Amino acid sequence: MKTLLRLLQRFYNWGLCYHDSTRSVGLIRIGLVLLIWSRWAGELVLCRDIRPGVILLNSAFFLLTGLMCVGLWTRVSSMGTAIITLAMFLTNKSWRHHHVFLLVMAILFIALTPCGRSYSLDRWLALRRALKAGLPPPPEIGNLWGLRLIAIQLSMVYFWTAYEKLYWGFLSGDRLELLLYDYYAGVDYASVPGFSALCFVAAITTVILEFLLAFGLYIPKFHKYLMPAGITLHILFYVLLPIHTFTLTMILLYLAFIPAASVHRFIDNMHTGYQPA
Amino acid sequence: MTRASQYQSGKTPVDTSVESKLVIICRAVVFALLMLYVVFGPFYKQVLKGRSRAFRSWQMYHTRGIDICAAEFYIRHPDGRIEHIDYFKILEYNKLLKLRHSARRIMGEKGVLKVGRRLRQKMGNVVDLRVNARIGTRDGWKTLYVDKRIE
Repeated sequence: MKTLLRLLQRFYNWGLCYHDSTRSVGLIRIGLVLLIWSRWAGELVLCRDIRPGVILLNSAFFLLTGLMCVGLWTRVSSMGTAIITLAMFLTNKSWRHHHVFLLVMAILFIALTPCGRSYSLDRWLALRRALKAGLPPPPEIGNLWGLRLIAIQLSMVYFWTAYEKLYWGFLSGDRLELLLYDYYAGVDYASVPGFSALCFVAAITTVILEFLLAFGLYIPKFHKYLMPAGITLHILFYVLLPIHTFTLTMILLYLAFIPAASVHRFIDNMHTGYQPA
Repeated sequence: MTRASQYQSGKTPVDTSVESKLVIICRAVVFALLMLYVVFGPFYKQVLKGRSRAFRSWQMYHTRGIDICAAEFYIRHPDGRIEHIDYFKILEYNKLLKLRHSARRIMGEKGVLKVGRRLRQKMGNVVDLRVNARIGTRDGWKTLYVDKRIE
């Protein structure tokens, strides 16, 4: 019982008491808006549907995402963006894809963090107020519990996609072959030497890597191996299959696994010694 | 140096505003609910095979490739010799390579026979045109035709 309580306490501290630099969430905030624009903005341009209700909804989408991107009234604009994207996702059947779901969930989770405390107009206004009042700059720190939810979401994506592949049809490489026959039809792959063996190796590697990514990304010392491997896997998916924003969303959300203090220090180090012209 | 002070000039006070118990409890409840949704949503769909649309599974491309066929056409000569045919070349599929993949793939039994008939038109009725074909299923390739003569 004691052990269980201790574990619960550790989990509570890990999940809900993550007070750290807000630069990671600031970067994710901007990235997510750019991704949702690249996925939806073309379809939500006002001239596409001129019914007053739709125009109002689409205008609200652009207003809220715009404010979220530049980081003005960020707590409200990011939560507003989360609500409106969730509503659009649930009401529009043609958008109910996995990559859109991931994007919508990530926006919801990032909206639960003080993501406007870094890289935002809110930050700039806060600095200006502090300067006028003769106070030191406000800290870029907040409770990043939404970042933990993003990390859990990513783990679940890897775990359940790997779990789904645990049957001989996939592990034998056949399903990968079928994907190639589908998307890259027009070549007699059966005549290519080693084609089936290559698909078999690729299938096994994919499943092992996905299980490793599901759990290993929580261990910082594995990052230098797993993150490049994961990014390579996602880039391959991106180049080979029509997966839209999925790859870029996953890569962006890797920031949730990197300690926020490290991201902060990394950015500081990038600017060290910089002399403006 | 504390984690908080690393980010400031050293003179900046850390925001130590105390949160009310209500905020902490609400946050914990929201965290738990969202985490349960993220973790057990796919479990409900993929393991328990639930049908509710409120939850999401992570089954990407799990129906893609089903019914796709891989066909191997060949001519059986009277002396028993087998001559393989590059049907992509004969049917000028290379001109289709710039089109969408759906224009190039062979779907299902009908698709194989359709390609066979087109080959037959090109090659005439004299040759003994045959096909071996496999079809894509969820469990991988399944044999569709073995040494089937194209009429």
